[in-house]
Amino acid sequence: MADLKRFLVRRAITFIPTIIGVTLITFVIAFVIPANPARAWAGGIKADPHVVAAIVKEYHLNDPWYVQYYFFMKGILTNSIVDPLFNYKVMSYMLARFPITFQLTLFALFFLVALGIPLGIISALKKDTIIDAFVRVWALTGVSVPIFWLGYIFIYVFFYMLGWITVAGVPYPKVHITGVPIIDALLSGDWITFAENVKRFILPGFTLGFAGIGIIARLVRNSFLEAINSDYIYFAKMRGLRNRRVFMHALRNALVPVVTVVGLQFGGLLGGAPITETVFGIPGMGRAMVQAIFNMDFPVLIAGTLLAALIFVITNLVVDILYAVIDPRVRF
Amino acid sequence: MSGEVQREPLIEVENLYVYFYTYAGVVKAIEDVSFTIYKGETFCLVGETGCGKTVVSRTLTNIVPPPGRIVKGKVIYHRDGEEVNIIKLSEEELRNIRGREIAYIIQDPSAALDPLYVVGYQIAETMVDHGTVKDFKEGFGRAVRLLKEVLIPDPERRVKAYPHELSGGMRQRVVISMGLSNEPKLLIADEPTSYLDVTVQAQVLDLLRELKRKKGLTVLLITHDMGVVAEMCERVAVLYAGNIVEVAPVDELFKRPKHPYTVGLLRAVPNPLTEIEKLESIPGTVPNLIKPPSGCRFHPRCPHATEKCRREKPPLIRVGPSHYVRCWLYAGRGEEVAKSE
Amino acid sequence: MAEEVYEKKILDRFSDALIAFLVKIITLFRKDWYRRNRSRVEEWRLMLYALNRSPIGIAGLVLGMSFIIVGIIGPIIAPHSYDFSFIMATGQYKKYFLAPPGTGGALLGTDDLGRDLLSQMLYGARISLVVTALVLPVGIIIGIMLGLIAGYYGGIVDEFIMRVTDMFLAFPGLILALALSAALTDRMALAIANNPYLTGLVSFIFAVKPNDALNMAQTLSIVVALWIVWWPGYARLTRGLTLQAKNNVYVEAARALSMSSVGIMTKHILPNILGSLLVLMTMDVGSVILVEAGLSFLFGAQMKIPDWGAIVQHGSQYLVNGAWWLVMIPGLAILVSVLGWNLFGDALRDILDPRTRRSIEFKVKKVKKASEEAGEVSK
Repeated sequence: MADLKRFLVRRAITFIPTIIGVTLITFVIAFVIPANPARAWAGGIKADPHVVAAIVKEYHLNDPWYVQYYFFMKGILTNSIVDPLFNYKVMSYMLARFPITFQLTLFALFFLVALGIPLGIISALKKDTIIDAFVRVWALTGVSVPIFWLGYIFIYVFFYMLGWITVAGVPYPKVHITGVPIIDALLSGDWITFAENVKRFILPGFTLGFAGIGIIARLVRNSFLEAINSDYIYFAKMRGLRNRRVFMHALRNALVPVVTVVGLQFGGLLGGAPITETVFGIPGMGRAMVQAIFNMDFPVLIAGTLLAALIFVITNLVVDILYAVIDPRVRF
Repeated sequence: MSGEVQREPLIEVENLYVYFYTYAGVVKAIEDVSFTIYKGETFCLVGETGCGKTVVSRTLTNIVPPPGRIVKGKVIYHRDGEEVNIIKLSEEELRNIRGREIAYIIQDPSAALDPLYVVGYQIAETMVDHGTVKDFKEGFGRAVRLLKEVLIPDPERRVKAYPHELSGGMRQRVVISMGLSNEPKLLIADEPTSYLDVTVQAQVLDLLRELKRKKGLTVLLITHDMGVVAEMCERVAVLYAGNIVEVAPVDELFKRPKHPYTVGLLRAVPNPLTEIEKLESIPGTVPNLIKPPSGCRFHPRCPHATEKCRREKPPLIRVGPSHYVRCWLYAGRGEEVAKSE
Repeated sequence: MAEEVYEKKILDRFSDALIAFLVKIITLFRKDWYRRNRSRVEEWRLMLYALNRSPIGIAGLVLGMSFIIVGIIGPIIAPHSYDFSFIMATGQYKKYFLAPPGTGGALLGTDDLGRDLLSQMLYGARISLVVTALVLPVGIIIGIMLGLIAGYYGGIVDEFIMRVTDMFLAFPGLILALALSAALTDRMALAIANNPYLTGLVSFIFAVKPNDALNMAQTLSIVVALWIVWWPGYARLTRGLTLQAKNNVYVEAARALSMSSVGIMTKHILPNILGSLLVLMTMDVGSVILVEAGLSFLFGAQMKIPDWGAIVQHGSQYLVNGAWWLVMIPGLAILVSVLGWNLFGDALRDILDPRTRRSIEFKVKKVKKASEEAGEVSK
């Protein structure tokens, strides 16, 4: 455990430059490149100069860049900065969106794991057959599909043509435990809200996970093949172990690298899935950031990238810890 | 120890052919191999790397890895007075034999163990799956005793160790304890020492000999090391390029090697029985078994090769009691037989 | 040893011709190149033969090449200009408002303004092609250079470069590119507007009318944004490969001969890791098309040019009216173009991977007397 603590501290120290770097890049893009954010916030070219001056003062826009950077970061982290366009507290606004993105990611992850892993195993067991070829083509198609196109196909077929699903809005259960609607519904036994959430998120989740399903399936296939061709599996057969036990040995070994990739995918998706959220009109972090970019609403953008970068480093850390848990050879 | 006493056969291999169907072509790895292992003896298969020793051992429970296939031949296993042909058994029947009645110890102990499970679990599962213990709890208890038997210090702690936490010698002991766990009738030890340090090698061989004596095991030992042969075996079969070229009791083989390959092999290593000053190598290289040499497979490297050797496959000739050789040099100097002991 | 003979197929003759052509061109510049690199040329020939025997690879190559060809000639063969409107030309509003595919003259249908979808698609292919051609080389070169330097020198240099790389990888890439291109667009537009040569150049390469050159500012800022987000992947892969290659004997030998670092990197390390990079490069052609489409989809409403992603975004508003073609057809075009490069890359991976390499080689190589051997097996 002492090892774990030391590992965590060491990793946390390397995070700091990453987080600072990421927010700094965003900051530079947001404030240094565009001509005049204050005027844009005050209403564009015809803005009242007094209002512009007030905004400049309030957001320290005439101060040196490092002062501005400090002001924005502190304001976001302490949730004291107010959005210049919409008058809400920036961090509260983003944090309210996070559970929705989280829920979308959970659905995508479900498809990733529930379809990707079995497909990969079948593909490995039926190596060089038509099934294997199918999984291979699916994997390649998955990474080639424009995600917005796939989303619209689903909307067109299941919403316009068949009317099976609902696409707008996120129903919340009455109880607030974690903030993630579907988890809260599940915990409080609110099955109607649960079903409504499933109906609304199943297609976006599948769309978002589609590319990953193929990637995971291919990865599982290759690592499973590597496992079943290894000496310890052969030796397990030579020891006359039951088929099911031999299979479990192979599976557990095959899943070690998969955990890493699934974890990283999860982290990537959590950072916001702008296209899926835009297509399905899901009010998550990705869509909020896209809108912020168009509105020149930079405080929201910085808060969003800060959150995304934090999520990225944290999931990386969790993946590393998980890796050490499932593979005894890895030590912190 | 010689052939006078009436001996009971345990395994009889008859005219075995194993081919590997690779992209490059058909590798004729084993051709016309016959031998018998008697109960209670240590039988040795010796030959260079790639001569097919391991493949032969795997045919004894019909577990030749793909793309290999047993094309022809019989493996008769004397199972409680009954004769069964291993090649004809179903996968489930074979599974019951593997690890239970015929157990293996393989070359590389680091690769043989699943890195994700503690060694105790892996020893225990070998017994659980054969029903020799009732559950994992009993299995772990037995595993501790087995580890003690193979002289692993502090077995109560080591049983919970992962393979990477053990040294190479210890891992090989773990593999040996797995082989012994179900008290098999035949233990097949495939180069059990080649991945180990020299000092550890001697310990492992001592251990094997001690266990064999204590339990009355029958052992098939596979090695390329003539020193190990001299130390461990009672009878030896010399394998060259998928053919058995000579079978003899160990003393006989070291004192009166007949086949030119055996002679070369003994000259290439320090012979523990005779004093040879200079070590010699056998000229040439191991042949490609996709297109093996015609006639005798050894003829391209043989100092005594004649036109006949190039054309025709030599017969098996009995040159002494329990001493067989497959070579044209001895044609007419003994009785031609279909299969050796 | 039996001599190796190849069983030649029609495609192999194309490959032979291609290689002969390449050798001829190189020989123009370096006289004795072929003599010294004969085995390398033979290796290429074998690789092409292997590719010829991979249906997936050939399918990918055909699709990928069609993407390039359509991108080049698309605007030339387009029946109408990208902004041509059937409604304006004929005045038949009812007929050409969201006309389905096949309606008089509009093979792939029209949009809400009566514009010909087919023509828009063909012009869009050019934009997609040019963006890809502008993004990839720069991203690849920056990435490979940084990766080589980090991997070769190691230590503090490596640490610094990889920290920066990680930083970019920690970013949600699409958001970074979106923010960058949004921030850049105005300046880009100003630059294009103020420079008539640039206006001419932009309208020429993207095949748009000069007064639309300004609208290409968005696309060009996407290009710049993608440069920034594209290199980290290459830097990381190149670094890993360099670390492996560095330990090879030939690198040590070159170092012992006190060859310059730059020389070792470019002459000894780079050529040996290029194969692995090639697979990523091929597949990345598809990725660039895809990401660019995604960005232009998000920009959608702001783009007044026939970019595939923007067409989908624009058309998606009329999905309610049943105008599926405005979404399906451009989306399908993107899918097919991207898939082509991914299939090709996947086949390349098989050919370049030493583990699968041998089995493919044996499909290509036929050793003489093969028939005899087969006879022996069957008996």
